[in-house]
Amino acid sequence: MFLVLLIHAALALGVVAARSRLGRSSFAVGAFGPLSLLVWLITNGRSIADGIPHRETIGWVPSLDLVLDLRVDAYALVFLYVIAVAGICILLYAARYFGSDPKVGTFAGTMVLFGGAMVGLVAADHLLAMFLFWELTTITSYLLIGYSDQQESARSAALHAAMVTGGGGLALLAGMVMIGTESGTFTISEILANPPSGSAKMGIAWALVLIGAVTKSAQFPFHGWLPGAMAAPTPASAYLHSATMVKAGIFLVGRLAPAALMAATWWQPTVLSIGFVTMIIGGWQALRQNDLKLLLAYGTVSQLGFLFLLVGSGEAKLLYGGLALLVAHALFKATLFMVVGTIDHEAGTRDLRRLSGLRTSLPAVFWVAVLAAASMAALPLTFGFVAKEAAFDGLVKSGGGLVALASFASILTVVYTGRFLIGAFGRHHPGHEPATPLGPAPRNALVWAPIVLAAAAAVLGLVPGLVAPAIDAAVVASRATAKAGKLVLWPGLVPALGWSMVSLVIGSVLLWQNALVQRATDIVGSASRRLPSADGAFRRSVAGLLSFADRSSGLIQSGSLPRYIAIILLVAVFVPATALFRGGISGGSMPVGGLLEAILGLLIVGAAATLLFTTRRFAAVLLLGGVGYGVAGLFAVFGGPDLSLTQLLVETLVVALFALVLRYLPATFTPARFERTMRLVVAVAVAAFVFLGGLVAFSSRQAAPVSDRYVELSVPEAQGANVVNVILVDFRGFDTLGEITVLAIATLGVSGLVLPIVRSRRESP
Amino acid sequence: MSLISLAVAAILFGVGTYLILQRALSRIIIGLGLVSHGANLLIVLGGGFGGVPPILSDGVDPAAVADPLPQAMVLTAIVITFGVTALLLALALRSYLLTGTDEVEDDPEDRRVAREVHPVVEPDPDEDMHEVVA
Repeated sequence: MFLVLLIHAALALGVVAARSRLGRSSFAVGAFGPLSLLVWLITNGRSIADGIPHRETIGWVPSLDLVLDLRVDAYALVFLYVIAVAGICILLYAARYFGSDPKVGTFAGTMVLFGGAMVGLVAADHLLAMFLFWELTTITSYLLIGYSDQQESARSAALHAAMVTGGGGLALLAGMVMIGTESGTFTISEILANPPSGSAKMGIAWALVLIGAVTKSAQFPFHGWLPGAMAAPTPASAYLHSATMVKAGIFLVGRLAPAALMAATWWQPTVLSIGFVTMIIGGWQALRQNDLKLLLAYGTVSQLGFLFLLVGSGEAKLLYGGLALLVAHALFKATLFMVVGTIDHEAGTRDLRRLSGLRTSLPAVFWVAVLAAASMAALPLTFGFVAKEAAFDGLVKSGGGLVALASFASILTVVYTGRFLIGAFGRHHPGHEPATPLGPAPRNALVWAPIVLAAAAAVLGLVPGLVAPAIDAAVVASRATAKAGKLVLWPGLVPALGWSMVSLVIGSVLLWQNALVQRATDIVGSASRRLPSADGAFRRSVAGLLSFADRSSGLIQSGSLPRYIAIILLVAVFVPATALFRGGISGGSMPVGGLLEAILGLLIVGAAATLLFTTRRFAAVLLLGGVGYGVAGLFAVFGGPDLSLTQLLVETLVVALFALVLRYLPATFTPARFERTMRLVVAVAVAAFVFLGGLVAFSSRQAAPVSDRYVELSVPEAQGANVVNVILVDFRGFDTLGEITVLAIATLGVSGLVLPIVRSRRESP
Repeated sequence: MSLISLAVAAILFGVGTYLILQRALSRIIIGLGLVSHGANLLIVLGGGFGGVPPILSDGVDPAAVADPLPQAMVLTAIVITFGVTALLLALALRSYLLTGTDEVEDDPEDRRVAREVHPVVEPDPDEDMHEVVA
């Protein structure tokens, strides 16, 4: 299995590397990826279906418990078969669909990588490894959808898909981490064998996982991205919609539902409600589309809703029909997408109002479409019918009127399937310019790839026993229930048959009275346009986010340097201040201070306060000097004569320097005009923080000062009585070396800045 | 350390900050000088209750001397502040002689970014239904 993943990765890279030489044959080369998967499935599938899961473990960072655990059981087998078969057909189809353009090779590589990620997602037995593959499908699908990067619509559709599924992925990751830490293992098979029990925390975790699956599988209210993803070239749409991407969410809920049911009582009703709402909304929207591809896309949304509730409910009898329907859906939906692609390729449009006369000009395509559409509408003798019977049978046994809801949604399915066929192959609508194929009908993969899939579906429809054992094994692997349902050509006179016949008949009548349906959808459609739609909500939230970002960055990054400094200072004050106040402030035994300190303090504060108001530069410099002298006095009070002397000396030098520079500057400051309040607030905040912080910090000393050793060793080790001097030149001599270096650099800077001025003054006095 | 000196250091920080937040370069440099004084004072205060100067001549009790380490650090700091002040003054002078003003201007690029607003793109409902096939 690991080898299969490696083959996908290597093919993807190889195809991209050789894209200019391969051109559109890249797809044919890439098809070896799913082919290798198919070979693997055929060689290993029998023992897996017999109930012996295939396991592989590849150490990645074993010390961190990061191992790539692969485990393929019968449940995963169903998904893998679908991925392999659909993948081969679609890639070969794509090799004839595209023109010869090196860029196509990159697309082929992305598609192979996407397929490989899907395989990894299904085969991974470690939650985090599964998540990695999950995100890989998100990223590659973004690239696939946004392939036509010259088109604004393709770019925004890709972004929409990436943001919805990526956001859901984040929720999924959080849920997975919570589940993994709660159960003490990230190995999926162990979690399923020993699921964590219910608690408020686990409830949140499972809700997060559900959000991940709902976004990925385009369930209500996140279904908006899937129709948008139609911007992708048709082969990619076919792959994304039939076998992969959207099936990932179905796979996930089906895989984890047994554990989720143990912890969350709301799981089943929630999954059922989401599924039914999605089913009906998707079917309804499909009735209103004129673009064949969009019609199919909304049909996918509807079908996904059905699959989601069947597979995600965790009931063995529903899971059985769900898996059968999943296989059926992959076969007919991939076929129909390829049919649409061929029509688009030949006629140059997908607008069902314009297409005309395709039945005679593309006869093979027409019959393939009829075959697949019959399966989609679940006409008897098709595999779609067999699968839907199994699903309805499970719903009837679950009771609660579920089957009635599903039957209602099936009416919509019948009607939009009819619209698809009539629209694609019937006459153009009055008032629309007809579009018919120009050249002769193609005789390559554009035609035979859908034929292969449609034929496979037809065979399964007539001999459902071919696939029934695999489905049964999958249900056993997931829910340990054998014979949860049955796949038969003719179910006999059971309630399920009645329900599906009712939806078929009503659907056909509605299709016959098409004008009535159109009027109804128009009326409801114009009314529902005022309701908030998923797509509109997404666009508004993105626009809101951008305008919020614009406004906040405009506020913070205003270009005003004083404001930047103010923001930095406020953050620097408030972050530690919150910690300070959480700990509580106590001054401890801080002495007030002596008379000498008070006098010096008054002097300093007086000078500093005057500095605030003076507008004459020279006065300001003298006041700064005054503050410096006062501080020197305070140093002396605290027992630092060296400090005091240095400070006096340096302060004098600073005043002299200022005096040299001030000769050139105007005598007074321009009075500060703006932002006085802001300055005042920041200044007070900084001062208060320094005072309170000092109060706490100085009264919480616990260890003995390190300098005790300096005092002790000063005379015996360094032969010096002045400890401060000894520290500077001996104990911490390298610090002083650093200080000298700083001074040297500052000197270079000053001379570089000032000497040219001096020179120019000398030349032109 | 004492409450009075701590308050003095805090006020120096406050006044210094107020001056730094202005636009005249020489005021900013003076503000920076005040903040440096406050910081130096804080470090010395961190050394404890003070004491006799840490010069171990005869008759000085080593237990009664002030903490010498903060003093050594502040000594270094004073000198480095001097270097920085000199460099800033040279910069201010050069800037004044070149631009004729002592004021810090707003960053024009940041101003432009701040004014910029993302356009809200509405999707076109009548997009062509045929995809571009390369």
